[in-house]
Amino acid sequence: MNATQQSFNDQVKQMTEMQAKSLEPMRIFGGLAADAIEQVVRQNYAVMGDFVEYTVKQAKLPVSGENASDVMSAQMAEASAFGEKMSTRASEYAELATNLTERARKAADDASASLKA
Amino acid sequence: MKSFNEQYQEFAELQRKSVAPLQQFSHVAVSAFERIVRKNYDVIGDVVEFTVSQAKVPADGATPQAYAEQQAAGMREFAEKVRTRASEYMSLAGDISEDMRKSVDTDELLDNARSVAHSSIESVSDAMSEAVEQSTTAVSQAADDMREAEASLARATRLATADVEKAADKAVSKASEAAGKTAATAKSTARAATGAGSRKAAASGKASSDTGTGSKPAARKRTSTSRQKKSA
Repeated sequence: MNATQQSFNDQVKQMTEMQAKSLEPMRIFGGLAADAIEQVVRQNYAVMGDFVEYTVKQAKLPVSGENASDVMSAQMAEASAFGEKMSTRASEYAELATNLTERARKAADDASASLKA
Repeated sequence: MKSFNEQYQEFAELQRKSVAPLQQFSHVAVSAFERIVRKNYDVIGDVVEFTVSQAKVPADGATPQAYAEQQAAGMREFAEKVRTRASEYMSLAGDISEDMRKSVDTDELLDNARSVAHSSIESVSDAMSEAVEQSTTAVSQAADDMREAEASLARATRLATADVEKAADKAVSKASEAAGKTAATAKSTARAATGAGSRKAAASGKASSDTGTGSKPAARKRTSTSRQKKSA
């Protein structure tokens, strides 16, 4: 009985190892997907931080005690700076997409090479 | 009367005075808003970190058991973090209410607000009564000006009518004089013509009795014609 159980355990272990080996090429894509998620989420978090900073600055301006024209000028300046920052972030997103595409292509080449091997 | 710009500036000044007691509330509100927004941003950062760690777990290549253990550990850590954040939110709410209580004395604020409102109402009513008085004066002045203009117009009309009547009378009298002269001239002419005709008739009667020349009436005609020219 013990021998049967041990043999069954060995078989399960063996099957698990075989599955891991067969799914090895897919693991590369999984890692790439995880990296992509991390980079995109962190970039989104950075953009949200920019929104928070802009909102706080705009909320503080009307109660700064200055006259209306100065407040309006400061608000316009902050809005222009925020627009500039958003355009920078957009270029960063484009660069991120290019890098991920390049890495995906390389991962596909590596996976096909490992399959051939 | 005050110009529109002056009235607008007064209105803006009244608004600023009435809103001034609320400015302390604004400062506290903005400060609270900033702290809450930054706290929310920190919580979102914790969620991002948890998501990234959970996404990386399957890519490590561990066994299913290790995978489950890693996931559970990540979730426990995240739950602990969320509990900490909740207590931070509670302390933040207490700090904000304390700041509000310290910065603003409610009774003094209400008294200030009442006095500002009272003075604003008084100044607005004074300005309105002054505006009404000025407009009434302007309207009565305009009415007087109109009456004077009407009287001047009536005088001018009477004078013009009198002048026209005088001129018409003059013209009529002249016309009647001329008509009289013309009539007198016509009478004298008619008398002369009648006299000449009777003399002619008398002369023709004599000539027929004398068997005179036909030239004599022609000569007499010429003489009477010359007389007519002389009398004109």
